[in-house]
Amino acid sequence: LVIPAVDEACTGNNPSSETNARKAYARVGDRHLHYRVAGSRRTTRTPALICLHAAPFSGRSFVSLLEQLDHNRQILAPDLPGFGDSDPLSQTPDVAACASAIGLLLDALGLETVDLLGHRLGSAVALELARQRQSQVRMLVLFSAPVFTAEERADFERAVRAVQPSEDGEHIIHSWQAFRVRSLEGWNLAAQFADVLRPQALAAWASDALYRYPLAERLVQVSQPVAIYNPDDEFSSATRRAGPLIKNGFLAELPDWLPGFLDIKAATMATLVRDHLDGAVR
Amino acid sequence: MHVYRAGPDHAHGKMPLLCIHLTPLAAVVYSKFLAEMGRDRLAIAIDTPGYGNSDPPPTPPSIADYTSALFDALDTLGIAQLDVMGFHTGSKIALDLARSQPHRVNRIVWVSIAYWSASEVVGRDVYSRPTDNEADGNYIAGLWREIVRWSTPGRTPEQIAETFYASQLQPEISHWGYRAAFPYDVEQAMAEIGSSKPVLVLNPDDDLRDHTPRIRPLLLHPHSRFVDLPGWGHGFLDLKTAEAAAIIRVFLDQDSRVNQGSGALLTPEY
Repeated sequence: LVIPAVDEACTGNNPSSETNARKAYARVGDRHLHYRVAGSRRTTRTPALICLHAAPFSGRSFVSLLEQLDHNRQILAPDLPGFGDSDPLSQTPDVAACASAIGLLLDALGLETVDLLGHRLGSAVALELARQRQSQVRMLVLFSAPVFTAEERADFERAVRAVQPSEDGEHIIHSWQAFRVRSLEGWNLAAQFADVLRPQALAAWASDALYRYPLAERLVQVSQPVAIYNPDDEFSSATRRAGPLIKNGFLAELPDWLPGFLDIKAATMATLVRDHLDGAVR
Repeated sequence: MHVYRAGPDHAHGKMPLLCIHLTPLAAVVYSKFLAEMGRDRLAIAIDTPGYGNSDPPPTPPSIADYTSALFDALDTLGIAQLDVMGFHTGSKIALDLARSQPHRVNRIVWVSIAYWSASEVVGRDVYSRPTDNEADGNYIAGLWREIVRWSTPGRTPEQIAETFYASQLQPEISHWGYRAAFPYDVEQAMAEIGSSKPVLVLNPDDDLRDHTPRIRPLLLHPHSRFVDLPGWGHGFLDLKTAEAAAIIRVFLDQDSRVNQGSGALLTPEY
């Protein structure tokens, strides 16, 4: 197959290559769930940390964080059902069904107590999993946990359509610009872009599931300690509404943490997560 | 290494079939085809190092390096003898598998193959340069349009999207396959194989249509065949799965007569 020529010099680095994480599939019911895992259970009694990604990405979005955290604990980043290399759910997918599937993955891997890290859609899945499995989930750290108003939901329902791939490739340029328009300088979008191009990512259901999820109602039901960090993205004002609803925990602002922070600010993020999980922040 | 497999581990009278993908895509292009071929044999496709979900090699590999990695994977899977099928770059890797360990490879299937003289390789040097490290959407859209251009007529954008994402899984090194393939000495490898291996060459209407026939004089085995597939292009493994499988089965099973099994479940693994 022929690719168009480009004239850039080789920089010699390869930021998308994964060095630390091992990748694997687990068979859960009648489907395969794909996950990345770093660190070791043998070296620590610390609960495993399960990182749940945003739509339309996959566990791949946590590769930088896995490299920063894996000395301390076992850390897993599954691809949610229908994302990355995980098989889709058979029924109409929603947050609760995603959480149930991840719960079955924890069972399959023999993980008794876990901490959860969520990003956007992953935050909703984390809250749902914490509700479904109260004794198994110890603590939560959420990056964006948007509480939408009825008006925002209605606006969203009017605006969002599935992306239709077209012969001229306009859908690719459109998607690239949409993710690139406001992001941290130096963020390697190319390393994540395959997940944006996956056919299931082109569908609108994932954002739809997050908008429909009653996050405010669920947040007040969760008794585990919750830290919510509010990065600087289009959900910032919605996430800010979650602050007063936290029963046991806090909300902290992350000004200037534009999209791309999962890679660019992975070291700082790892410190925030570690401090919270290790009890240094209250 | 990331592997898709379908079909029984041991199928009486049928060799396992290893399918090797084209650059810059990955083993996922064989998903439907594996499920079909897995009806009566073990059919596997492996992401070559640096493609799909397989770990990248530390430095740009040669075809021989891909061959070595695939034999390591086959050893791990316990596959001693097999048939091999390649697609573009994968055709050269399939050839090299047969050349380097001829006692393990039975028959060879190619979907297009090209080889160039030394001067032509120089002329193609642009293709072995790295992609823009900060690739923009226009660059990726350009690759998309190339695939659209050479696709089987009637292949929809939705069908192309089923596998296109795989071209961007390791974008910084997605040119390494070209780098390995262009200088590979097809003529020398064919000379080493001589008349010992039957080869089926499928020549669809894709971007190598005019190059592939150059291989004809090198097909020395009496059972080797060259099949033009006018009107077929990229994506025929998905759009014409049963027809492609029928052509390939006739070639692979010339020496055996075993009934087809039922449909196979595709299993990914590392």
